[in-house]
Amino acid sequence: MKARTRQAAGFWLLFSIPLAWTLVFLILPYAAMAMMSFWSRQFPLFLPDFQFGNYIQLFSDAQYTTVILRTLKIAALVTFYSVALGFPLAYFLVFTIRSQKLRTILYMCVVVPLWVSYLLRAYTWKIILGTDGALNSALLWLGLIDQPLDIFLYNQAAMVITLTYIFIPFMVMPIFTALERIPPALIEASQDLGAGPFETFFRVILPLSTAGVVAGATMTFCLSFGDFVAPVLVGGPSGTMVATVLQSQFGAALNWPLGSALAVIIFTLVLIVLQVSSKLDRAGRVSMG
Amino acid sequence: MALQPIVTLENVAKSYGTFTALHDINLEIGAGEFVTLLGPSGCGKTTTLRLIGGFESTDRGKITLDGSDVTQEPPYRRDINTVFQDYALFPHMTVAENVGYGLTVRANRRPKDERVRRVGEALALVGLSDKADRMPQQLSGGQRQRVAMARALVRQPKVLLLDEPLSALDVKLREAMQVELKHLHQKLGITFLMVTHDQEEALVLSDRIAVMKGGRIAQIGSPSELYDRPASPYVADFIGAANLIACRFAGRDASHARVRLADGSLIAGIEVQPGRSLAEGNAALIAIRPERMQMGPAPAGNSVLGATVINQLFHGGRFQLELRLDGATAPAFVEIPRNTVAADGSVPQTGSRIQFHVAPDDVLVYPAEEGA
Repeated sequence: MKARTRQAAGFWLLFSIPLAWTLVFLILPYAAMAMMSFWSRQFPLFLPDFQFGNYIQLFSDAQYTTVILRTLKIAALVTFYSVALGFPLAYFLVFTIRSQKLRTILYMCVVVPLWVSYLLRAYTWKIILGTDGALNSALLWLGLIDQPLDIFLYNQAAMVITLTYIFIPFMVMPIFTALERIPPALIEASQDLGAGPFETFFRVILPLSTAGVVAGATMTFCLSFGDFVAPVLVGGPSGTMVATVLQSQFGAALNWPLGSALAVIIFTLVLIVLQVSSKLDRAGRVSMG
Repeated sequence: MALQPIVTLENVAKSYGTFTALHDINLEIGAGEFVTLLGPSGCGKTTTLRLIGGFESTDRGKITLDGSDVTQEPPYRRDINTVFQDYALFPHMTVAENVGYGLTVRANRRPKDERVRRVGEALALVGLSDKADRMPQQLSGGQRQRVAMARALVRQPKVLLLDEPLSALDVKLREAMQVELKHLHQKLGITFLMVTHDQEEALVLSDRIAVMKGGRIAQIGSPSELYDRPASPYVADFIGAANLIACRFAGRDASHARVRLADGSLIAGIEVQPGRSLAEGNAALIAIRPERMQMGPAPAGNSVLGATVINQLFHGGRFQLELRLDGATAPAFVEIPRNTVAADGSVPQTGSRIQFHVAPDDVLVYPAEEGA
């Protein structure tokens, strides 16, 4: 009996702080956000209420639906390019580089940018793509243009490039891990049974790395979906994303109930993405036992 | 060799950096043979197997399969299949999909009904018909081993390579699988080439054994040849047990030699293997199988060895005695079946003196510098 009391005391001692943290900084804010999304606004006041006006406004006003759809599109593009670039890179690191040392060095080269401030890395692209930036200088020097161009910056392409650059390590890391865990004997067995390199890739390597691709895609998608910095730095007016709108609702527009409703929608979208990915992940995951 | 050669290696060499894994190996394997490459780790046996399978490329030399040169061919163009050491079953496929893989690849795609039939036959062959829809992770080690066998055999290759196929199994299962492997080989008539470090496995299964050492084939021959006439103390020691005793060569007459042990006792009438040059007084090494050292009165012509019992070890059906032979420094071992212990039923006790005799044919002599 006594031992059990002591055990219970130990349990609360250990977990009360993390639980309190979760409650105060995660659960309560979410609850407050969900509650406020049903409030109404009488400028400059927010009135406790239960009505769906905010949601109706978000879904009927083209201004908002456009931004949400654009954000989905950009996140999808970033995810696509990250897979398209990240998978071959991870494959190259795991299967082409023979030296363990060189592989580690190259892998670190992929990961090290994560140690540098995210803001700084996004800003770098502003410098590269700007009118007096590196890209324009290079093109001028090559003689391909005679006037600096301003078409590189402040558009969706610039955002996709910047976000892909920033989030690609999150794609490479899980794919690299998944590929590295494939026993070389499986690849040899496939060849032994008559499958050439391409067939071996599509029938053995790719299926066994699905889990890594799904994890990387989820991470890249969710991170770029909620990104706030790239739109501000390189996006311009045509690159406004949902996080920017969200921020303005809580800032300049001073419409917290509408902002909360938007946040709830974003939250739901991300939850859906996570659900889908965990389904895919379970389908693709196989123990290497 | 009477058999038609199916695999030949001609002067095949392979190095990894500064390490020479194989020094100009020559090997000829007959169709339908069961050949084993035997040796400790690092002797080049696995490299040889991987070269034949096509997983490594040769530095020099030529490999032929059924008469055609396959030295430069990748694994997927060689009519050879492999049972991998850890089975290498595809974890994302069922047992049936694993076994059928080799019949679905683009280069060898079979119609569905043929595939189903052959997968069924292969699984029946290894006794796993009821496990076709399982995933490999749901099977025991022995069952995975069988799936690996079925997957490699379903393509009816000319040669089956087995890379330490039984090493991951426990002792009982391993013995049962040895019997099954032998049955499979007899039933299918396919050439088996196995790599193992387990000399007993090699003796039980093989038609011929190639004992390897340091990237070379030390000796190749039938299990009984290797056991009865090992070409070097290394082979004598690796195949079965051998008591190696340092001694000096004490002259020869016609084809028979004498050696003198350190205590002065003489063993005479030893058959000297051809090609051995031993001069009187040279350091020599004799090898005697433990079961050839017999107790009791010595028949004429046998040499007698005196020894002190150091230890006796009970093995169930037999006793093993650790001895110090007179005139030898290294401990020697003998084995005595339990029912033939001593006339009065007693086992020689530690510290007691006993005498053995050996027939001259059972003593093998080597120059000492070939040390084990």
